[in-house]
Amino acid sequence: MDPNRPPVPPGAARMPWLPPAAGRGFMIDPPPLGRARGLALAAAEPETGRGRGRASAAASEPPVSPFGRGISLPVPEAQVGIARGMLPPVEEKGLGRARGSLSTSLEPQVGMGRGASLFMEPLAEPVPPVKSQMLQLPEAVSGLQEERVEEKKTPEKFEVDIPDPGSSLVSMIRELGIEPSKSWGRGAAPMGRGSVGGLAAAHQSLVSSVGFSSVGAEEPFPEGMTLRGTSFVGRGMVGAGRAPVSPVGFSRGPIASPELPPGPITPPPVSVALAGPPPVPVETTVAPVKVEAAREPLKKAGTKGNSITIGSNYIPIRCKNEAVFQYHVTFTPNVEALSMRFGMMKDHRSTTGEVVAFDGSILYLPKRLDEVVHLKAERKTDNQEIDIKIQMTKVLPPHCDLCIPFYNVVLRRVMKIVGLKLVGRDHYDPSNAIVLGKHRLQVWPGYSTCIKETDGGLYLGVDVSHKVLRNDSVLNIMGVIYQQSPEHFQDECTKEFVGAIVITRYNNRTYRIDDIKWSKSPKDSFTLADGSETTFIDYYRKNYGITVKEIDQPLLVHRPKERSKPGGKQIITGEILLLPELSFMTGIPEKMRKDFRAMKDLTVHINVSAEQHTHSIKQLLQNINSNPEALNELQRWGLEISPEILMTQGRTLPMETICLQSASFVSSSSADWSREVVRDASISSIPLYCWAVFYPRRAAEQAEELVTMFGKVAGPIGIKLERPIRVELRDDRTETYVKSIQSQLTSEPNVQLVVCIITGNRDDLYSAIKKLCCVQSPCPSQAINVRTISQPQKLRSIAQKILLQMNCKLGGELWTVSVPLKHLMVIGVDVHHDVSKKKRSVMGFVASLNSLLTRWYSRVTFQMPNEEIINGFRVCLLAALQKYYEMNHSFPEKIVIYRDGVSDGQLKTVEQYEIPQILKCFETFPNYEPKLTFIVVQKRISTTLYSYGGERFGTPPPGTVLDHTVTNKDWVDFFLMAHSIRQGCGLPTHYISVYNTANLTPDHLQRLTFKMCHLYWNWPGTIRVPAPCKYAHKLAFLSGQYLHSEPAIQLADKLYFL
Amino acid sequence: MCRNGSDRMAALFSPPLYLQRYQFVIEYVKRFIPRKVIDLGCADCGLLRKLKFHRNAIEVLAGVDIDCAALRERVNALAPLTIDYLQPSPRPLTIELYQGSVTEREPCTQGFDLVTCMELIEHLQLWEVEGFSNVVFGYMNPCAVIISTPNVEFNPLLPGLRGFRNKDHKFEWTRAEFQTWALGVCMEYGYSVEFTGVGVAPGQNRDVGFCTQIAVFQRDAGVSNGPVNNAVQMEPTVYRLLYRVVYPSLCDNNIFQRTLVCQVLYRAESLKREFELGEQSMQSDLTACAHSLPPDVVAGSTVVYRHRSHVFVPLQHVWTDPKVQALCGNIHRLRQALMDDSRVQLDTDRDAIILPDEGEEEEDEEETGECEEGNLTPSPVVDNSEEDWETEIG
Repeated sequence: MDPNRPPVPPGAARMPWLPPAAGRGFMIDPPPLGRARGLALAAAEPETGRGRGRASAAASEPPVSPFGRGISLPVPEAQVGIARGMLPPVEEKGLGRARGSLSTSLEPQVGMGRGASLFMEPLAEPVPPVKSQMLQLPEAVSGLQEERVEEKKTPEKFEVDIPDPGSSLVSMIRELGIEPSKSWGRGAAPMGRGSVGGLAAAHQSLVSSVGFSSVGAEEPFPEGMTLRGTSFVGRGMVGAGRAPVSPVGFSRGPIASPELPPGPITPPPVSVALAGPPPVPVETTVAPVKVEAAREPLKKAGTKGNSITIGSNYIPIRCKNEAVFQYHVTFTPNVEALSMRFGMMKDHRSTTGEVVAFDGSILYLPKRLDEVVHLKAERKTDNQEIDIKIQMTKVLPPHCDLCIPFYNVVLRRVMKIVGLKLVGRDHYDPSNAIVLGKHRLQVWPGYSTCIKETDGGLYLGVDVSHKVLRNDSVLNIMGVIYQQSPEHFQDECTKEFVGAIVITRYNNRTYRIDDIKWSKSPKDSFTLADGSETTFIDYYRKNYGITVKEIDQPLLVHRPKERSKPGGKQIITGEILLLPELSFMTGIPEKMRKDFRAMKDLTVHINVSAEQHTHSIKQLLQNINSNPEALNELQRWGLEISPEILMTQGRTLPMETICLQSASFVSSSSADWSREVVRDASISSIPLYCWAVFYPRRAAEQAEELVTMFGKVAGPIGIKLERPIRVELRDDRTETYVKSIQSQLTSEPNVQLVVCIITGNRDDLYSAIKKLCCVQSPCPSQAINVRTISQPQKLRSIAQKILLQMNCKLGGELWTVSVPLKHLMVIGVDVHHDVSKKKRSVMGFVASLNSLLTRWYSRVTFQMPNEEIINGFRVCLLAALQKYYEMNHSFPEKIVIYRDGVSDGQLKTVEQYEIPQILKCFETFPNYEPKLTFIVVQKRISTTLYSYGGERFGTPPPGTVLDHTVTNKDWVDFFLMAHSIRQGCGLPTHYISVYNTANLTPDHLQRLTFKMCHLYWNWPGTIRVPAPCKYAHKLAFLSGQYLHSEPAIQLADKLYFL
Repeated sequence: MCRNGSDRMAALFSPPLYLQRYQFVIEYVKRFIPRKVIDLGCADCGLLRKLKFHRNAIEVLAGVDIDCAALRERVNALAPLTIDYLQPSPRPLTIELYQGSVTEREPCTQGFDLVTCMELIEHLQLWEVEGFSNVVFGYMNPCAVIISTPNVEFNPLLPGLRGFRNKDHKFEWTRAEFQTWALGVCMEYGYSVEFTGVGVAPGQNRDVGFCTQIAVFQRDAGVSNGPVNNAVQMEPTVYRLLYRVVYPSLCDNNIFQRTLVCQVLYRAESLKREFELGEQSMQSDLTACAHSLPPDVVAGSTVVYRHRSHVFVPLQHVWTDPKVQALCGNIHRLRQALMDDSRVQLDTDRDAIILPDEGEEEEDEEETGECEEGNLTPSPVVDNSEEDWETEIG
C-alpha cells in the first residue's frame, strides 16, 4: 500500500460490485472504463429509436398508448416529449403528460430549453414545421404543468400501462439493427447541447453522436443529477475523445454540472422523422449520408494476391444471454457516499442476483427485473429510511460495447481461478517460472488477455507474454552499484532505476520509478489519509509486520499520472514514496540488454515460435474450459469461450519487382535481396573523392584491411572510391576523436564523409562524433565498431554493407519499387520518447521528394512533454513541400502520411485535431488542395498471425494481409506482415486509414504500404513498417538519444542518420 | 460482521474500531505465537488479511463464515503476492476458507492454537449461544479463544442509535451478562478468562466500559478434551471448503532446491567472473606467465582454478555466501543437496562446482546475418503488367 493513500484501498470501497481485482483493474486502467462509459452512453441510440417508434405508433393508435409507455420509461418520454413539438396536436397531450413526470424544479428549465432549441432550429436546419410549432410553445408548457399535478395524484396509474416487455425488447433490438441511429445523434446533438447549455453558438452540426447520447442518458434521471455530476468528469472526457469535433465535445463538461437540471433535448431531424408514418424510410432520408456510411460495415477488404489460410490469436466468444439490462438506481433521500450506495445495493442481492455491475447509479444485470422496483434500506448514520428505485433504462444486446468492461472483469477473475497471478496488467503462471539463477531473475510465462469487439464479433484476444522479475530488491542493486562506482553512485542509480518498474513486498501493484529522493529516509514521516503522521518504519511495521532493516536508504518516488478516480470525484495527485528495500525490479536489466550472451539465455525462453504460441493459447483455453469454477464465472454473464483459435482466410500480396540502376528482379519469397544489391549497380552513387578515416593506433590494421576491401567491392555496386585520408589517433579517448575530426574538417572543407573506427560499445564517443558531424560541422559520418571488422571471413560482406550505407548517407540511391501513382509524396513520422520522461520528445519527419521515392527530405522537432506534436509537424510539412517544389517545380497532388506511434485512444484526436491542421497547412500555398491519405501505423499490437498447413502452425510469408474479422469496426484498417520472420512469431503491423481523400482503395492502401516496406536501404529486404516510418524512427532516435538537438539543416536532403 | 456499525462509530474512534479489534488480535499473536489460527465469522477476511502479514509463526490460517458471498468477495487478497514466489518464506503457510455454521461440529476446526471470534456471537440467537460454546470450547478445544461483542452499556454514547448497533444483532450484552456467560464457559470447559476491550469512551464516561468488550480465554493447563486423532478422521466434514492456498515456502523441497541452486550458481558465477578478471589483468601484465596451474597442485584447493575448458569453483568458496549459509546450515548439507541436482555439476571429489568456460566462445551472430543456405527457390509468378492506380482511383 502506498503510504500516501488511505490504508484501505480506495478502489475496493468504490467498486464493491466487482471483486477486488476488478476494482483495481478499473483504477489502473481507466481507458477501458472510460470507453465503456462512452459507449454506454452511445448505446442510448436504441432508445431513441424506441422513442420514435412509439411516437409514430401514437400517430396511428389511440393516444393513451404512447402516454402509458412514455411514463413507463423515462428516456423515451423525453424523446417523445420533444417530438411533440413537431407532431400534430393529438400527440401533444399524451406527450406533455409524459414530460410531466419530471420533477417540479425542472419545469422552468424545461420550458426554456425547449424555447431555445426551437429558436435555434432554423439556423441549424430549416425545418418547415418548426415555425408554426413555436406558437404552441406556451400552451405546451402550461399543459405540461397541469399534467404533472394530475400525475402526482395518481402515480400508480403509470404502472398499469407498461408495455409488454417482450415486444419492446424485440422492437428495440430491431431498431438497433436497422437504424443508422448515429445519424440521429449527430443531428440532434447540437440542439441538445444548445438547449442544455444555452450554447446557441454551438451550431456545428458535427457534434458527436456520443456526445449527444451521453446528454441523452443524463437527461431522463433528474433526481440522480447530483451524483451523476460527480462522475461526469470521466464521461465528459470520453465524449470529447470520440466526438468528431472535439472543441464542441469538450464544452459539454461544464454544461452538465450537477446543478443543471436536464433540459429537454430537442432533435429536429427526429421530429421530422416522427411526422412521417413509416419510420424507417423517413429516418434514412433525414440522416446525413456521411453518418449513414459510418454505420454500414466499412469497405476495407482488398482482393489482390493469393488466398492463404491463417490463424490468429483471437478466440471467438459466444454470448448466450438474450440481453443485458441496464437500470438506473435512485436513492431517496439522496445518499451521497458511493460506498453507502454500494452497501445498500449489496443488501439486496436477493433481488438483483449475485451478478451485478453497479457504479453508484447505473446498474447492469444479466437478468430482467420489473420495469420499476422499489427497495428499502436504512442509512446507518442517521437511521433514515432510504427508498431505492431501480428503473430499467435499456436492454442491451449481450455483445454490446457497453458490456465489454464487465466481461473483462469476469475474464480477470477467470484468469485468477485457473491459477494465474496478476502482475501489472497481465496474468502469469509462477508455477512454471523459468529461473535464470545466474542472472538472478525469473521469467514467468503468462498471457495478456482482453475481450474486444471487432468486425467479426466478440473475441478474446490472447497474447503470450513473459514477465521478467528479479530476485533482488532495489536496495540490493544499489549496494552492487555502490561497490562498483562509489564516486558516481547517485548518477548510476538514477540511470539504473529511473524509468524502471518495481513491485513491492507488500502488495501486488507495480510502480514506475520517476525519481529518487536522496534526502529522505524511512525515518521520515508522512501524513496518512486520516491526517495522522507516521514514519515509514512505523507504517510498514504496523500495517504489514515488516521490519525495515536499513534505516538510511533513500526513497524512490512514483508520480502517478494525474487522473480522476472512478466516479470522477477526486484527482489522484502527488507522489508515492517507496522503500528500495521493499521494492523489487521487474524487466530486463539494462546491463543485460547489452550483454549478447546473457540475452541469449533469456530470449531462448521469451521468443516463442508460432507452434509454441498457439500451444500456450490452447493450453489456456483448455484450462479455462475444463475448470468448472471458471466456466461458472463466465456463465454468469452468459459467455462461452471457444476451445479453438480463430482460423480464417488472408491474402499474400503479389511480390514486388526491385529496380536497381539497370538490373531489376522479383523479390524472393523470403523477401531478401542482399545478394542482388551487391552484384549490380545501385540507382545512383556519389563518387567519394575526399573522405577521411579516423582510427586509434591499435585498430590500424583493421582500418587498413577495411579500406582495401572497400576498394575491391566498390566496383560492382557502382561506387567510385578514392583512397581516404587516414588519421591515426594516438589513443581512443573521446576528446582525441573530436579534436582530430574537427581539425580535419577545418583544414579540408571538402571532406565528403567522416569514417570513425571505434573500440567497444561506447555511447559517449558515438554521441560526441554524431553531435560534431550532425550538428556542429555538418558532414555525413560513419562509425564502425572495430569488432565488426575484425573477422576476415566476414569482412567482405560487412564492407559491402557499410559501403551501401555510406552511399545512402552521401545522398546516393540504392533501389526502388514501382508505385503507380503520380505526383505522390510519402511521409513518415515517428516520435521518440525519452524513457526517463525528463527530456523532450523528438519527432522525426521524413518526406519523399521524387517520383521514384528515392530522395528523402528529413526534419526533426523537439517538443516538451504534453506539447502537441502537430505544431512541429506543420513546420516540417511546409519545408518538405517547398523542397518538393524546388525539385519538381510543382507540388505533390497526393500526400500519403504514415504516422507511427498513435494508440487506439488517440485516433479520434488525430482525426479531429491533427488532420484539420494539416489541411490548413496546405492553404499556405495559393490554390493548393492536395489529396491526403493519413495512415496510422501501430507496431505494438497484440495480434499475431499464423500460417497453417499440414496440421502445423508457422509464420506467414512476407506480404500477408488480413483485412477482415479481427479488424476494428470503426475504421478502415488492415494487418500487414511485410517482413520475413527468422525466429519467433508472426507479428503483423496494424495500419489504420484515418483520412483518405486520395480515395485509395483498400487494395491500394495495402499494396502501397507493402511497397513502402521494401524501401529501407539499411536492410536488403522487407521490414515491418513502411520505410519512411523507419527512417523517421532512426532520425528521431539519433536526435533524441545522441544529439539532443536538431541536426544541421544542410543534411536534410540526405539519409545521414542511417 | 466486524465492521457493522462502523459508519456510526467512525467519527468516535480513530483508528476505526474494527481496526482496533484487529490490532488487538495482532498484538496477541505477537505475544503468544500461535501456529494455527482460525477466525470464526471472518466475513470478508479482513482479519485474515491482516494476520497474513503479521504472521509471526502462524502456519495455518483458517476462516469460517456462513455467508459464502462475503467470503468470496475479497478472497484473492489472501493469495500469495508476486514476491512470495520470488522470495519464498522459510515457513509454510496455508490459508483455508470454509463456509459453515459455528454451531456445527467440524473436524477440520480442531487442533487450533487460537480461535478468534470477533463480533460474532451477537448475531446468534440467544438459544444458539450454548451450542456455540459447546462447539468452540468443548469440541474445537483450542489453547486460546478471543471473543468480542458489543457492550450495550456503551450504546447511549453512540449518536442517533436506537435499538441494537446492527439490525442483525439478536442481542447485545452488558459487561455483567458477557462476563457471566464467559465465566460459565470457563467452569464448564476448563478455561480461564480475562476481560478487556477496545474503544475507550470519551471524556468522563469511563464507567460505561469499552465500546467492544473482549474476553480472552486460555485453556487450563493439563485440561484438554484432547482431539483424539483417530476419531477426528472418522467424522464427516460438514463445512464446505471454499478456498485453499498453500504459500510457496522453503519447506517445499522443490522450492528449497531451486532457491538453493540459484543462489549457489549465482555465487559461483560471480566467483568465476572475479577469477577471470584476475586472469586477464595477470595476462596483460605478464603475458609469458603460465596462466593455469598444474592440476596436481590444485586438487583439494580452496581457490578457483581452470582446468581445460572448465572453471572449478570450490564449494568452500561458495559456502562463504551468507545466503547460502542461511539456506543450508552446514557445508555437508550443501554438498548433499547439490549432489543429486542436474543443474549443478560437481567435480569427482564433490569439492568444487564445474562451470563451463565461456570466455572463448564465439559470441556474435550478426544481427544482420544472412541466410547462407541456398534458398533460391524461384519466386511465385508476379503480375508484371503495368499498373495504373490513378485510373482505379478515378
